Amino acid sequence: MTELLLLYWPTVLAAFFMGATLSVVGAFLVTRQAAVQTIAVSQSAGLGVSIGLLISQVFFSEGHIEHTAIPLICGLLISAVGFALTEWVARHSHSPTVVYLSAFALFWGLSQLLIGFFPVVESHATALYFGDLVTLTKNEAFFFLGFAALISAYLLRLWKGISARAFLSAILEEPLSLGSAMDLSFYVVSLTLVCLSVQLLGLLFTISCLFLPTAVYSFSPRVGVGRHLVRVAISAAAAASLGFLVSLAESRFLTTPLITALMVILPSFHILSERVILRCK
Amino acid sequence: MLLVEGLDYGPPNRPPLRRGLSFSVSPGELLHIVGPNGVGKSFLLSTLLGVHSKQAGNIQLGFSRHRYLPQMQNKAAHLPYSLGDILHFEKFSLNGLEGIGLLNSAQADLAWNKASGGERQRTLLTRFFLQSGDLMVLDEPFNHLDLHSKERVQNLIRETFSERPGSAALLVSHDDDPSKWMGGVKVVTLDLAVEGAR
Repeated sequence: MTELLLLYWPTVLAAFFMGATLSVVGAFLVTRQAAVQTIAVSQSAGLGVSIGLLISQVFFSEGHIEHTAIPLICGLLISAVGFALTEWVARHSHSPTVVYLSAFALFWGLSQLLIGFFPVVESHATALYFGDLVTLTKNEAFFFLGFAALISAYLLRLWKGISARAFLSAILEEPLSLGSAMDLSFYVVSLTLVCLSVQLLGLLFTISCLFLPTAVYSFSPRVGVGRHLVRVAISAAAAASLGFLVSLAESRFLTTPLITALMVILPSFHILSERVILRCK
Repeated sequence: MLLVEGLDYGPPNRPPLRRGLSFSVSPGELLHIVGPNGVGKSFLLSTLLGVHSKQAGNIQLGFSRHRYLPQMQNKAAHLPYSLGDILHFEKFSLNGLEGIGLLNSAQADLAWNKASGGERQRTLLTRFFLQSGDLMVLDEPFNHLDLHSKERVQNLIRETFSERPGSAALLVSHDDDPSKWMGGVKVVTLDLAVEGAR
């Protein structure tokens, strides 16, 4: 185990910090009623990455095609298009959720069509869905560490303002706007974070970190936005790093499915113990 | 001064709610906007403040700063906001609460999602009165309030006019004529059922 830890410590740290940042961004996305849209945009990022993998295969047929920057750039571009498209159509619809679900189905269908025509991307596309932290290279792990540190600094600095904008849009129905620096920066940060995470950590890991901790903690009896954000960050970070470590020690535990289960188990256990303590008082 | 000339406004890509609306509001005046449901009172306020785009006409907003109380949608939020969170976002000190007189510091720990409609509205009004801005824009401020709180809000609006002589207000309300409680402040009524064409 010690040998494995020495080998994978950058990945453990990357999982810890990516889990924390994704979970906080996810809490804001849910408050902004953008959870389903995020799933559709994540799927469009997956489509973009598949297109990028195909382009890489054509131009760089030798070596590790998934390690060029092209899939990432394509993922970012297509997810930006996916975001703009869903946003525009939803603003003209009385049922935005149906628009987002339709977009999700469309992007999923297009991804499968692409795989049908170009089977060479199939294994990479499958990896996109389930991901595996073990496959991260040391450089990718260090990149994620730095990236997560940047996003964490952004969230620590601006969480109050982002929370306020989320409140105004959810409760007072003030429209979010690309003209507002706060909204624009949040859109850019969340889009980049989701896209990168989908490409290198997988769709399941990304969606689990984004939504499971905040969904479970919404049943907590405790009040306060700051407290909620700290809790989702800690539980997601713990679930991501612990899940990875356990899967290293016992290979029958698949990494991302185990992390997904822990994203529910850890906060549920915390809330249950909290309720018991409150009842005993 | 707020000057509006020939304003057409309404949701984008749809026919305007009103056409050719013109009026002005000077410092020291309160404009009481009235009209039946669906005539576009709230949409007019958000258009004047630039939240929504106008379809035609001119709006000159001469006041350097404004504060805005949108109509409260009595909804729950995903994040567990406390009433105090909503005031802290604007860096307000909870010490100012007692002066406003709509919330006390013990209520700051209440959850938004569990608060009554009246407690929610008083939180938003407290936030409004702790802000600064010469132009007060209030959309249905008396909704969900009991008689005591309603009178307190009327007093706060009147006090703002007497403490800051350059103040003006736009008030959307289905309540009685505000001139009954505004003391010597000039009150002008804009009836959207009469003004502007549909």
